[in-house]
Amino acid sequence: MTPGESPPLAHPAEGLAPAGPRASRMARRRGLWAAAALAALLLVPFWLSDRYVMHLWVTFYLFAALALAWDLIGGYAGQLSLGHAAFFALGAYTPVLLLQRWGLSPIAGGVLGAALAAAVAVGIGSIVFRLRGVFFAMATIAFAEIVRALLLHFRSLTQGDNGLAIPFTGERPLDLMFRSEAPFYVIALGLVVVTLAVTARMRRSRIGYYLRAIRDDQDAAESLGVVSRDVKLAALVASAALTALGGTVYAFDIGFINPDSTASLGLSIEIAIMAIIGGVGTLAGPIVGAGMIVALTQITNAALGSRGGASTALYGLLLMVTVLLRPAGLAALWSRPTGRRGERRGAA
Amino acid sequence: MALLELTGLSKSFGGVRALREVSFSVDEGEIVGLIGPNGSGKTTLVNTVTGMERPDAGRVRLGGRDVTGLPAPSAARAGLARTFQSPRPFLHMTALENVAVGALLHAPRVADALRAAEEVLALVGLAGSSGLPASALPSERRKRLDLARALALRPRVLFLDEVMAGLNPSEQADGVALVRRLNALGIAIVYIEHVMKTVVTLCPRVVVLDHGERVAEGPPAEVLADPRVVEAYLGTAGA
Ligand SMILES: Nc1ncnc2c1ncn2[C@@H]1O[C@H](COP(=O)(O)OP(=O)(O)O)[C@@H](O)[C@H]1O
Ligand SMILES: [Mg+2]
Repeated sequence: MTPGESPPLAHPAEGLAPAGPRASRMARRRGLWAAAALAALLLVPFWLSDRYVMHLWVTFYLFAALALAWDLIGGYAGQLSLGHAAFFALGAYTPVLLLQRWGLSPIAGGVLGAALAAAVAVGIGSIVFRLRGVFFAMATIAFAEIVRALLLHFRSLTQGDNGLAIPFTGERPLDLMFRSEAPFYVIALGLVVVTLAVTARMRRSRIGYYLRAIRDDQDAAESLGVVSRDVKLAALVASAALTALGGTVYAFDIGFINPDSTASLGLSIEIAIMAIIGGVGTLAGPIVGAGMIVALTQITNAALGSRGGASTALYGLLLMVTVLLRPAGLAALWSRPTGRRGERRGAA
Repeated sequence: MALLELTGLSKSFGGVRALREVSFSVDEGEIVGLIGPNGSGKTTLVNTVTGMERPDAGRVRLGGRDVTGLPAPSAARAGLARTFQSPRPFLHMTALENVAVGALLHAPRVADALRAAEEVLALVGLAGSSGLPASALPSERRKRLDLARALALRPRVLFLDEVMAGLNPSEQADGVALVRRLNALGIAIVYIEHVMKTVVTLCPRVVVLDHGERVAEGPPAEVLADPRVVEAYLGTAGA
């Protein structure tokens, strides 16, 4: 309890409870830093002329948002979902189809896709949350495979594995069609900010407390009045909706979607791995993980070509190393001070 | 009318009849001792009443309301709280946050729950540990934390499952004083314990379980002299 003691087993989600005016001053300072960082990031497109590099940034943001969204259920609720691609696909297909069939703006379509993903999450959650551990993970895989099979099957709607192309018909902001990549940079960054905001808010809320309790000991949490199924469902719904928004951004950035690029097991795994490698249950972890994997994929693809599966093997290796050496995730390497702050409060 | 009333409560696990038609009641403001050798069904009784297990048969009434077989969160809401025989803190949360989880039942706003949790921690003598992760607490303080969490639910009936086990005599004395204080707040307590000295001190009335059956009930001095009770304890070479 003395300030000099070394921190006990650092856990990223420890010590969220605010403590007095000092904490709020610190929060304000952190807010200022975040605003400054955001402003700096918004300036990037102005001196980045290379479209490809800009697209890499978009990819990074997109995966950061997806990993953050996944963390709501995978990290905070401790439920290893390997089916998130299904929500991504719903978010990709819904606005594309609505635009092509009825000319609905993908801004509205994206929101509808998110709503659809949320509704599906409620249905699927009430089934899979009966299962624990590996059975839960397997059920989520099965769910995503069903979505993929449906997308392949209903060809008249989805064109099956041929996929759907979104032809460029000129600069039309309301249809998310832009000549430049810069708007997508801003949109994807915005998605990260929204996802971060949702996550940060949830962490400090009643649901955040309940999720952490459930993850540590579900029976004990229930004995304290926590209806674990409802709490996990709420986390899954938020996670699914945000993941679907990611699907929308992806679809209109790339301009082409098919079941393999949006609903594959590989994508589900990739999202989960990013959060796990970076560190679940933290704000920085999934972002760091996304950055690492996106960078790594670039390097391996440049060196070995994208076909050999070299990057996949490398993820696996990285995942193994992380889990063995640093189960809290790589972001925990420099988030140590958080643990110390909690400790000082204890001594006060 | 009794506050908590168990009638004919039964629970089996496969072939093991952990509870056999157990009946007894707890009055408002009472401390009832629940004793019996290891494996006699004490913890199972707590689990069945507080919703971790569903009873096979029997009734549980709380304040006249039928709460039989309610799932654990509903039982907590109804006013039934328990500690765990081996404490089960949320290891990655601070002591304060652990208790706040319980306090959130009545305080939907986190800030209010944290304030309430602070008070409860002070009540059980853990104020100085509030910012520490539960994983950093030694076992005696984990027991207090378990207790604090349960108290944060503002229960009507509190089940204490062997809270004194493993404590040294001075810690036990503190524990007895604490249980008295909680009882003085108007919480009825079902006190499960092997440390007979504390049972005799705290409980005007005890219920004895043996092989899932209620074999005796009455003031501790009488009950402990009852041949069936002596046999139960000697028969299993326990306690
Ligand atoms: N979840 C369970 N599954 C199977 N058997 C159990 C379970 N819980 C308790 N039992 C059995 O029920 C009996 C009563 O156990 P318990 O209630 O823990 O006794 P006590 O708390 O009095 O020591 C024991 O024989 C125990 O093995
Ligand atoms: Mg027991």
